[in-house]
Amino acid sequence: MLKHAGVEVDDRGIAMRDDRQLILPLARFTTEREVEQLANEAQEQLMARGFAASNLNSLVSETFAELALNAAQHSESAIGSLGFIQFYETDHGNRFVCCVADGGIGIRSSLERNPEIRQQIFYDWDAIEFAIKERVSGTGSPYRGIGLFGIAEDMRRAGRQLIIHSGIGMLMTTEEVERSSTRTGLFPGTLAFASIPA
Amino acid sequence: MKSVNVMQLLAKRVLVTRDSARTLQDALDAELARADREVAIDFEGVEGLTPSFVDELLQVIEESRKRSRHISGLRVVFLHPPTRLSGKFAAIGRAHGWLFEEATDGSWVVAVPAKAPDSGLTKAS
Repeated sequence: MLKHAGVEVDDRGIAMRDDRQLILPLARFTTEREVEQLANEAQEQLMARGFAASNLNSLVSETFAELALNAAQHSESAIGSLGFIQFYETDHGNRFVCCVADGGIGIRSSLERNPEIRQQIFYDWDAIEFAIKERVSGTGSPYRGIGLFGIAEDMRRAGRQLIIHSGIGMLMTTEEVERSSTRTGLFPGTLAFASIPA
Repeated sequence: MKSVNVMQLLAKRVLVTRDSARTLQDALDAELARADREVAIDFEGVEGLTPSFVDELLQVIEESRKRSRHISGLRVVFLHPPTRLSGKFAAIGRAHGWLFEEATDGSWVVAVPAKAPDSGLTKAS
């Protein structure tokens, strides 16, 4: 899809996996309505395939929806946002992967719209750490800023993992590592990856 | 107990957007006009909820309550919620000054105070 959109993609040396099963094929979206539609399509697939219990299906579709909503609402990405859900069967266990990425302004710039936060974040990795706290939002509304906090909370359970890469910052949260943020290579926008064992 | 049937009104298994929550406004207005201190919202058939949807739903309930005769406290019951009551949904309740609790049958019970708090929120954003 990226190549079709005219993006130069260097995928040399990256082997294609043949153990994947698509729940939601790579899809582009820009609006919240499109996110809701994609989440419902994903839920239909999850229920039809029967890979996991219904409560886990809900977690997968809710996680994708919330990550995608964040991208649609805050990224200001000129190319829209992209997301997919896959199911992997491996010798080490089965898992769902939800991934959402955009080519937008990044989490730091988004949060800096809130003057109260601007003074507290200096780096991209600071911004990501801040973004997963309860009620932190660039909008300044006391009712916003629950979505990413909720995903981070959900991913701190056995075997789950959340990785957020925005600009030159990256944060990983798992059951063992409550959160670990670091400087890393540039991603021109934001990418969120959630892995959930089936 | 009579209730607002979400699946019947929205016909979606995963409720994601604030717009979807707004769609329930007329039904909630009607239910609050009829109800006596308790309103039930039935999520039977719904498989997923996002915090954005739930937050907007609480806003809609509050607005409906203000238009209704329920100036005193109100009890809202979420019947057949798709998941257990997790920390993220409790956090949404806290932001509104409302207390979420999970009943033994899995329902979520929300106690809506008589008067909205004076936004005594220690908001981080």
